[in-house]
Amino acid sequence: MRKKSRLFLTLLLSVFLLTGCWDERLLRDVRIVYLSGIDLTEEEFYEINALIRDLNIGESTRGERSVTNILAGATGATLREASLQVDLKLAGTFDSAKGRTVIVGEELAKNNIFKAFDTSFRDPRINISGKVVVTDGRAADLVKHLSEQEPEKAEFFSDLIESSEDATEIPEYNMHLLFSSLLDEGKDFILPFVRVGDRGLVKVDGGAIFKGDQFTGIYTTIRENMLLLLFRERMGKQAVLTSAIEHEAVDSISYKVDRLKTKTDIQQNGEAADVKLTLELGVEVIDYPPADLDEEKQVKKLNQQLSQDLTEQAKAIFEKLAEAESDVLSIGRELMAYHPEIWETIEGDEYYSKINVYPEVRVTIEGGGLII
Amino acid sequence: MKAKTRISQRELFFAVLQSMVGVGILALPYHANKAAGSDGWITVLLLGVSLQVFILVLWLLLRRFPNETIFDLSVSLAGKPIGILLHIAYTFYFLNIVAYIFNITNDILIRWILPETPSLVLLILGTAFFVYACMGSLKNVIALFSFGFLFILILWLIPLLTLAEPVYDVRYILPIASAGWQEIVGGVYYILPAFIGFETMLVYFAFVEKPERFSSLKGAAFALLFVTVFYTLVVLISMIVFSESEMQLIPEPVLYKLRTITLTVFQRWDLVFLTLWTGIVASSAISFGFLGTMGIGKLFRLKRLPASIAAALIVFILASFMYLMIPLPDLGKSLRVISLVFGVILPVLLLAAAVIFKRGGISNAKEK
Repeated sequence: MRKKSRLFLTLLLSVFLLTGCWDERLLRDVRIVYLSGIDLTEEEFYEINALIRDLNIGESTRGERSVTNILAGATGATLREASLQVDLKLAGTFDSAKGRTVIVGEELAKNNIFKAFDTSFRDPRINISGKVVVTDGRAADLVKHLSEQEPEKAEFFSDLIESSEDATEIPEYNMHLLFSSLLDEGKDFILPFVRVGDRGLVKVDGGAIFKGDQFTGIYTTIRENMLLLLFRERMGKQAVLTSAIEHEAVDSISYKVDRLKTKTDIQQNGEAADVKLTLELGVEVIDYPPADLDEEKQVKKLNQQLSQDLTEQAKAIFEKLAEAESDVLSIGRELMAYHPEIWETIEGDEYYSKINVYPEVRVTIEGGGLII
Repeated sequence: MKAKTRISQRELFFAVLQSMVGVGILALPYHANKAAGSDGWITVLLLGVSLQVFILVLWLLLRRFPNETIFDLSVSLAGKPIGILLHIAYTFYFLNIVAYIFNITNDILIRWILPETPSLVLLILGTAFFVYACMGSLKNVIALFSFGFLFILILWLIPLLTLAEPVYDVRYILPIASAGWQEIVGGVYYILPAFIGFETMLVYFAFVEKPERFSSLKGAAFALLFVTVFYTLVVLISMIVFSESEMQLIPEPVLYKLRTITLTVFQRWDLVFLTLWTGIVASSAISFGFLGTMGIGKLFRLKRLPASIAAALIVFILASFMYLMIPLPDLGKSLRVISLVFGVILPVLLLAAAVIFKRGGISNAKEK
């Protein structure tokens, strides 16, 4: 009798070990979102358009699985409300836990990007390592275009972005880093810019410069992105640059970056700060037909030409950043950490207008692949 | 009533360590940031060092009453009425901490992984577990602690993952000590709850061999050192990953950061961390619960099983009361006061009383 009652008690108590059952989520009940686009409508409503993967595992199919992609959209006063509206249109639960990419429309980017993403940071189930990109016009159009044109849709898009990141063409960015940059007063950021190019091909086409939580309306090109990323020491897997040169046989040279070093020198200049940025690049030539790199004189000449070319490009970029008043290089943070006395004099919302940047690039050719 | 079981220094180390590392660790970076901004890690270090000195005070008190726990000691020091009152107060304190641990754990588990599970179920599960864990002997419990040390070691490694991606920024903690020393030192009181557990020494020390020797303090001192280094590291990592203003919005920075890390096999490292963390929280709850059970057992001369059931009932009632009546921030505030009173002020008063009234003392012990 005693044994039996003990057994009964043990069984009763072990019921409470089954707590997971309240929170189970079955794959067949959820509609997984891989790609979504968010816009701001004219009435200041958020519009969400999502590409949803529908996994059909049913009795009628005898365990066979079939995958279809659905495009669903809705609007709401907050992004969460909009996604709840999408949920109503779907057979299962709208689940953004596996979302890989979020496309932000131009209007929303110019308004306030933080507001739109707030809900993503609050929900532990949302994948905040998902990428964020900006498009010109409406994100809805791009999502629609992708759903019609590309067979692999969402995968294609996230692969497209990842390969650009590897090539140092766009900064490696995700929702979490976005949150960090938005809250850091001494830092601004550039988001990848994606648009539909010639012949309906979707392509990564540079970056969108942000100031605080707003898109400034100024774009960078891929080349500019690359140089900026080198200045930030954020090289992807590789970085290949091409420069025009003066030479009797060819007029350009391609080279890839092997090593890089940056130096920041900050001086106070009255009410402003003078920042001297030096970027030292050790490069390897990868495309240069005239075989004259065995001459030391020629190498020196090339070094000088490349340095001059990149320095001029860098100057142009920093003029663009000054126009946008965007502190992409986080010089504000640098000042706070190492020169608090300078920071005190220029602190404020408009601090970047009080920073003068003088960039310089020094290139050294250090190799040429298999041949000299 | 003198303690008969003996524990080695290594066992003392495990006991104090497991009592200290617990619920506090997740929110510690947040509280440290709130207390002293980006210099919060100095505050943590400072508190660790000052507690290192403070356990000397505890030792001075405990060596006067060899082999006596705080329960026996308060009676032999303050006499019947006051001593028994102190005995009850400490029992209640230990059980109160368990109830607090239950509440914080519930809150975190529900917010992070089990949003639809009723809180009551987790509480009942915890209480049932409590009875089972606390009815064992001291040797049993300590064996569990030494096994649980493995979890702590793994838990220590996981925050290092956050440095796998080059997204941290050392400039967030520079310039060092920019918050001003007044705030850094003042913050110590604010983060005290994360360090509670050192006062379990008031009981565990009674079982140590040769308590009058200075070297008998080794176990507790190393446990404290371990915790100080561990906590400082966790806070430091959180502070170079998140900026000051970002940290103000994130109550559990370590979990939050782990959420963003995707390594080939796992997408959500926060779940791995939470799983290990639950084990560690359980051992600190067991430690406090075991002491509370011991307090009840001594008070009513009960055997272990009935004592642990009584303790579990008290914990259940306390935890439900806290859950229903007291909002979490208020709970945190009250814990700060309680841990200061029972961990620091009362032992100091007891020591003062012992010195003034010449109670206990090694000379006495030797004569016996």
